[in-house]
Amino acid sequence: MDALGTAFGLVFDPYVLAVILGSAAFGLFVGAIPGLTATMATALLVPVTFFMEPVPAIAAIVTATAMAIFSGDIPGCLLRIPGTPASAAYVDEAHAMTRAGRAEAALGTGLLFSVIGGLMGTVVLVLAAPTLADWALSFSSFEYFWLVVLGLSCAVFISAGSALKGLVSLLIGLLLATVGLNNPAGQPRFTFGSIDLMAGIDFIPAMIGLFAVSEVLRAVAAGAPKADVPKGAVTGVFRGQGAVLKRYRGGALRGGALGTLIGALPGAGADIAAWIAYAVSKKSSREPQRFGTGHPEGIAEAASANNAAVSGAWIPALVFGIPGDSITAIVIGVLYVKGMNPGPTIFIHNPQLIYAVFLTFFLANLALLPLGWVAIKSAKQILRVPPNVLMPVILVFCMVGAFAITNSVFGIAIALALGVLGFLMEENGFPVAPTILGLVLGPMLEQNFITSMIKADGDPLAFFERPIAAGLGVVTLAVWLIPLIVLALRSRSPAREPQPSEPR
Amino acid sequence: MRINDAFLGGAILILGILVVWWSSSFPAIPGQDYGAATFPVAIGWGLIVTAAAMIVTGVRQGVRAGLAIDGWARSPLAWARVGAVIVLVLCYVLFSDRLGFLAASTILLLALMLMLRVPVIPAFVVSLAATLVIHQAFAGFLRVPLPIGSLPLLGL
Repeated sequence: MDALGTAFGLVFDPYVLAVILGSAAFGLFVGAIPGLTATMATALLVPVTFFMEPVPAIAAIVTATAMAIFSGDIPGCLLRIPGTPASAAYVDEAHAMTRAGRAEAALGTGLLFSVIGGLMGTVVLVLAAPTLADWALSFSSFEYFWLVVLGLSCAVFISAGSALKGLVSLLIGLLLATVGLNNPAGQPRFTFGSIDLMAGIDFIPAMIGLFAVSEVLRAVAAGAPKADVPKGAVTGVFRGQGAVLKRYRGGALRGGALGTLIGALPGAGADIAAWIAYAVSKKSSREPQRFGTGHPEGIAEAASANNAAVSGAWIPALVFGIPGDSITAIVIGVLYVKGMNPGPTIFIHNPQLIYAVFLTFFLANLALLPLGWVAIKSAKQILRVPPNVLMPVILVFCMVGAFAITNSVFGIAIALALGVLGFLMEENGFPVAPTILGLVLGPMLEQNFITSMIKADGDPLAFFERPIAAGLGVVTLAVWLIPLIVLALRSRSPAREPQPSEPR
Repeated sequence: MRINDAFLGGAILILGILVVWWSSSFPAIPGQDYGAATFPVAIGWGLIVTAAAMIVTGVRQGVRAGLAIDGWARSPLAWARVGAVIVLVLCYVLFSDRLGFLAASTILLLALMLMLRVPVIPAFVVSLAATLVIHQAFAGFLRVPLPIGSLPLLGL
């Protein structure tokens, strides 16, 4: 328990608490602006955290993401534009409540159940992570190889849109990860003779490009239109929420559990958790006909699920170094920069840091209640910030952030190139999250693959010789084969449904 | 703007072939069968296979719908705006060293805001203020060596 005491000292430090407050305000603001996502909040924060100690750096990211995922509900409710993709699942429901004059009830439900979901996810994280880490200590390169492949496969098959495009996105990320000298043979690859590229494509400018610059380009293409903010103040946010809580406590628990689980699956994050939780809530509700007409039940469950997913995603990230979503993909990069290499040994060597992360999660989710209330109160002011002023400022922020990592304009060039790439990919229905997962996990995958191949002397069966490796291998192969079999069966049946147009 | 899967697949196919061809020449770890080439060659083959599948689905959708231009992509102005952002950032990459951060960032912000139809005076005030705040945050608090510039008047 000595480590726990140290952790308390690390977190309850005036500087760290100030960082938490600042990043909370930042996260609430970014989440509430349509078009700026929680991932983007993280991307913009990372260059700043680069200069901090590990604990405040992690605290800043944890707080900002928890806040941003909630505050994405605000424009969803008031304008019918989700502030972050995680709020998209119940945006119609929340807006229907606003039209019925119950905006405050919708936002209050969203806030309260976000806090509950976030806390549930945190409890599971605290309980599950150390146990899993204990078990993971015996893993060899074979297990890690399969874990990485499984994680990446989930990212391809769970991500929104077509699995084929997800796979292309992943392969592009893996390809970008091979650039430079950092490979088992120490050979320069794809450097085009450039000294800057010898060091590889740094992941911080890359993710600033993929998640922030691409959003700026999209907004600029659309001409940065203004949103119509409805008139009238939102009052009485917490009025009547006790009854809602009592009525839908079962749904909140189920949403929290589902969200944590989906968050912990690599590649699936808060947005997918919210969609699934909303659907489950509707299916098992006693009054499904009221869904879509301004009924809080689905909001309660889905708001709980998306915040739980934020915490759940940290389980595989901390234990195996495998991100649960694109936010934790960024976090893993930050952990490496801070010398806290994620993996089971961090629980042995640096338990105080792990406890500090847990404490921050509790603190951030508890602080969400009062700070979220402030955000709801000031929602109209936040939504009035004109995008045609905001987007250029964000672009400069991106550029300075990309520059700050290596103090070279090369970082800005990378951010721009990947920003254009991300923009074109999203325009054509390619999910971007697998690219960043590939970029972060590429070196780990290659290292474990080459080590395992050398150990096995090229015999693929060696990948199945150890029991856990075999289990993981079989699951991975199933993830690949089941969709293929389903596809084959479907194309054999004569009555083929017309090709649905892919969702944007 | 949506390009037909068949065309995208074609582009990815070429990329895959180039990757396989180029990385085949990477040397192995001495004394081993595996090395620098193993992984990129596998990625290249992955790209080739997925590209082939995309071409098949694209052809099934009908190649006539080669390029679906919808939404913002119909407006030449939107294209110009996106192009302008890219050019402006490239100019910053090339010239910020000489102009210095304060001048380069103010010019970039002002140009973007005027392009997005922010009125001139607010655009100028916000550009200058945002530049000063970002400069203070990164050069002041975080000690990032933002370029000072080498032009005598602008090197504040």
